[in-house]
Amino acid sequence: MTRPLAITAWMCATLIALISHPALAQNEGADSSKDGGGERVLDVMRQQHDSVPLNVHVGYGGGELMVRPAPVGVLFAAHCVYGDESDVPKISFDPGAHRLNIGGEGGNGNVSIHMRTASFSGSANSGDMRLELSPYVPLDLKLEFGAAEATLQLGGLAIRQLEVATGASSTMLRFDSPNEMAMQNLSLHLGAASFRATGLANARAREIEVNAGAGSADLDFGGRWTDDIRLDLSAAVGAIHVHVPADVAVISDVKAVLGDVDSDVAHNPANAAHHLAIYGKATMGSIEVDRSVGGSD
Amino acid sequence: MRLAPGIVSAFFLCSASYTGAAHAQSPDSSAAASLAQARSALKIAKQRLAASSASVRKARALERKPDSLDFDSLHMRAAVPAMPTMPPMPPMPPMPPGVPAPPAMPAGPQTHPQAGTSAQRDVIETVRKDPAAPQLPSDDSFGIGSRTIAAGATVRGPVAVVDGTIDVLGTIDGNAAAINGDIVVHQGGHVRGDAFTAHGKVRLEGGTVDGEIRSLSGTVGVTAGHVASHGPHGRYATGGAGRYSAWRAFKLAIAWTALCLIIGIGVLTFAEDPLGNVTQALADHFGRSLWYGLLGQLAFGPALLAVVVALAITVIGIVVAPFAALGAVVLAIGVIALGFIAVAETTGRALVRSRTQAMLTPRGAQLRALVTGVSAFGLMWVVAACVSENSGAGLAIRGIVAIITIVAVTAGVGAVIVWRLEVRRIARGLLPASSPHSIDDTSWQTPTPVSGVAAARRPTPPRPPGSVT
Repeated sequence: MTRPLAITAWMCATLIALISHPALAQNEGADSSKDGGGERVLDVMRQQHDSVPLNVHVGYGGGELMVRPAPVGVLFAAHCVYGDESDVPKISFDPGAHRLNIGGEGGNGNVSIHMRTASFSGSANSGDMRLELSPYVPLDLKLEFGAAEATLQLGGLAIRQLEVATGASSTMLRFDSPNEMAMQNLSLHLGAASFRATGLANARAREIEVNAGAGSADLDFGGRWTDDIRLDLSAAVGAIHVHVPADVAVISDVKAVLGDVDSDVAHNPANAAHHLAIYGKATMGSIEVDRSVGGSD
Repeated sequence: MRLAPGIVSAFFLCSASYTGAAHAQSPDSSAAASLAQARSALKIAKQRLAASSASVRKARALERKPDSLDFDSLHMRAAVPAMPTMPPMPPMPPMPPGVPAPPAMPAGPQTHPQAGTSAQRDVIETVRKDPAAPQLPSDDSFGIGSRTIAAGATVRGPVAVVDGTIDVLGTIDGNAAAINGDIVVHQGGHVRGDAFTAHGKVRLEGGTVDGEIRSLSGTVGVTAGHVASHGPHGRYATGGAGRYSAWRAFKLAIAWTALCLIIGIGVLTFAEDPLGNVTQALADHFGRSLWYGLLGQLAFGPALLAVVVALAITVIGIVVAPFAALGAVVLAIGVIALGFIAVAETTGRALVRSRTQAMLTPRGAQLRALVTGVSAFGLMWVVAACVSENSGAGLAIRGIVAIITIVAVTAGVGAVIVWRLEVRRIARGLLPASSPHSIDDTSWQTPTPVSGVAAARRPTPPRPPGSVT
């Protein structure tokens, strides 16, 4: 065998071995979780004693996550189910700053819940979490998911700011009822994720920013329109599909760099009460706008 | 003996009943409020009596498996014991007329775990070790069985019980904790601190808890992933990123050793000459190799960044940059692997006796040295994994092994750099090929047929016809 070929073969073998080795260790972890201990359940809650705004940061590695409004008198309630091999969920509340932090280390929110797995791999050692938040206090929400399957039922809450960042997750964001206050900012940073949002008009956000990495985002602007909305889109490699109600005028300024833009909203209604201004660019992804709202009022 | 906790619980529950009955029979009409409280306490005490058998079952099961408790399954497995007989009630002392009723006192037992069983202490310790549990009060603070904080009364916390329920009608000025029981905060009840239960619930029935309400259920105790992460008091000490398992480390050490052996044999088979040259460079210039390796590792990141930035300036470079970065990483991995294998072979040669090496073929001796060296490094990590649970010594050994490995890898990387620099210097004529410090250049060059060219046959005149050879 000639020298360059030998060197190349040796380097490839080394690389393959190094790449496959962590997978071997990962299987070891998964196997040990099978014969590990049983299911663990952690419930943490606080009663609501005032209406001071609450800053919530949730960092969630893998598993199923649900966020929804809490019953009367409850500031927050977290119900976590996790396995013996999983990281123990860390739920900390700073009464002074009124911050809830759920998850692992480094959360700077007021309420934080981190259920990050040891390997950051997601499903093998993942848990389930249900988080309930008071609809009677203003909320600054920052939700970060890894390989999670998240259902965010945020309708009826009083959200001031909402930031959602997803990894390889499947996320459903629902605003079944209007937000209790005008939302200052709504940011969605989507990785290689499947993301669907319904009732976005109920969010009552004047500005919505969506960055789609390599995933697909389905944005349904159904719900009750109370104001005009500016939508900033950026589709790197992913696909963004925007659904607009028939009675809303659309102002679209979306550019295609190497991607694809498809707008089916050329004809705006004559007496539209509200406008949706769409700006953005499709770098290598695609942006599609149509009038096929599924859940509009 | 096993019925001891149940008997103790039953005795104190009966005492609670008696206390309530005594208050109920008080003729003093001015103590109407206390009478109502006493009746409430009597009712609660009867409920606790019915629950005492469950406590006995849990205590029995916990004696069998103190470190990992699945409370739900304990309910399923344990046999129902016979209820302990209740001690006869002592005669009621007559209450002097006109004496106001005593203030509401806790109706529950006031015993401490020292009087309880080891199983109950194990339960507390098990819960204490659970990473999700809060800081629990000392064992001395725990009472056995249920306890009631009467209305109007203020008790300084922490209030903690095992195998019982805390009924809060008054105020707890501090934390409340119940293991194998609930915390019920009734109307008017107030917990000024946190409320924690293990295998129980915090029930808010009109009361208030100022702090955090936390409950653990299902399996409670130290988790498999955090066995070695607990401090001297069993508290959760490190985050998820710092979790460590000796068995996992042992398997990783074995796996890495096997992987290095496979890579080493591959290098020996497909890249024998480069390996030999690097080994030679390492043997001849160890100090220089170490320094070059250190510089090479420090310079790799900035150099790669500079190359990527330089490529990103041009349009074509943007496309090429990811491949260049990937190639650089592959090259770095290859250099590290080649260097480490060379170090392992050198180490193996030093460990194996030269007399036995001389009996083998050169390639056999090389293979033996390689296996010996890699095994030596792997053995160090296996030893480190086995002793790592002893926090002090384990950490020290792991640190030493890690330093040795880092030095070995650095020297190996440096030896590869030294070898390549020598080759370049020879190619430029800066170093004579016959220099004692030179590297065999032919090993790096493309193999050429050096065995010679078949000689041309010398032409000879034709033989005359009829001649005899």
